Amino acid sequence: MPAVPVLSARDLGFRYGRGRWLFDGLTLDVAPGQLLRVRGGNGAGKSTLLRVLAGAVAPRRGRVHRAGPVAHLPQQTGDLPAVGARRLVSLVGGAAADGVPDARADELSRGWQRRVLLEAVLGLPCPIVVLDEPAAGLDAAADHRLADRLSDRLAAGDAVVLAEHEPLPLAGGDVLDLGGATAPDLVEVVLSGTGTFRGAPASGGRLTLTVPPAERDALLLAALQAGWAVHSVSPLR
Amino acid sequence: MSRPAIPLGRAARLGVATAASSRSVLAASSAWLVVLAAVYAADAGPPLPALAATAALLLPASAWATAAHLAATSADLRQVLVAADGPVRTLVADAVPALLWLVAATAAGVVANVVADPHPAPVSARLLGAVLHLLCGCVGGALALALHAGHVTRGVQALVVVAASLASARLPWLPPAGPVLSTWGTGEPPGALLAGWATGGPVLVTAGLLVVTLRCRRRR
Repeated sequence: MPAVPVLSARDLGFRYGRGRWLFDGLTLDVAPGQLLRVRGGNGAGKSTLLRVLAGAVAPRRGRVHRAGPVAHLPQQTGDLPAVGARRLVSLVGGAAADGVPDARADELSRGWQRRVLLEAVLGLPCPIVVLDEPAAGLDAAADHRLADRLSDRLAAGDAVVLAEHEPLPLAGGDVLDLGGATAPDLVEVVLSGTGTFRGAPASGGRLTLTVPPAERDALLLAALQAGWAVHSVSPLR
Repeated sequence: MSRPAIPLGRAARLGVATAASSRSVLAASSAWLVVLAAVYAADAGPPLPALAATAALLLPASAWATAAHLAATSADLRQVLVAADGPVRTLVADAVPALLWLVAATAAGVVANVVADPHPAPVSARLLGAVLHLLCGCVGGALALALHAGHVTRGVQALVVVAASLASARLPWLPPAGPVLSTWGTGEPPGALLAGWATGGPVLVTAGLLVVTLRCRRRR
């Protein structure tokens, strides 16, 4: 007999104001001990879906059922309050803040603020864990520690939902792909230098070129061989 | 309702710690003390009208202190609290520091009246004055919560609070300041209907603003 889901969504839909539907008609179940990985391109709605599943925002359509409180790590903006980081972790998570710096949370770097909030959230005794890109800003060792802690939560029967750009070193799990433009249509390459390259003249020490993604590496190699420096490479959609 | 993952006491302590470290909350507190000093610098008249006047002034002061506290708190942490404890408990946790500030501001207002107002008055008048302070301050705090939930910019929030305070002070029927000033601000004993509206009106307005706050928070 299949386990009763601790988190389920039926015909879920959400959009901001009168904008496009980020997702619509979405139905999912997450059972105890199940890992669900949510993937998709930028703007596909991963963070919004996680906020809806966690109960931080109400869906515009459909409904969500949670069997208990949710430990939710939102997509952080780095705005922790001016209280001690250790105090914050112990007040939110109720656990000792091992490895957290003895400093004011708002004075920490964004990476450390994220780790502080993650530490607080992982201390919550919730049967559902919803983490939005928890590996962002973590080094490899912290990445593996996080994966180990999540494995322990899964083994203990907690349901875990992750939005991830870079996959955590965590085996298994079901994947929910929200699609979205994962590959850019074009890539903008800005070179630093003087003169012309591929018939285009530099202006103010910069030369901007737009190429399909498949031609990016060849362009960069040719530019470097011609003595140009690469200023930036960014996707265009 | 499920058991909260973060007990309300811990969430409220986090809010109080945040408010205590906010310079803007300190500025609002200082401004309130300056207002009291200005009112009682000269003879403010009989205690109850004076208390009604300072209660009306507590509307914008309370809104300022609450807005300052909300601005000092973290949107990320609020999302964590909502997921763990639900929107109503999170709203209560947000309101606790504002209520503590309001109680302190009310105490300061009544103590200032006791100390600086030379006119004699029964204890019941000063207790009524304390209630009026709490009512007006609750509306100010709830207004700040609703504006914050609606993601209104700080500048527009200030404009709305000032406009609401002036309108309420000028219009005798508009809670909280209008009915308070038109009933107990004159020194004449009010009728039962007016007294009921002066105390019930702010409660209704506060409840309405809290409902708006919850609805706005759920849609963002």
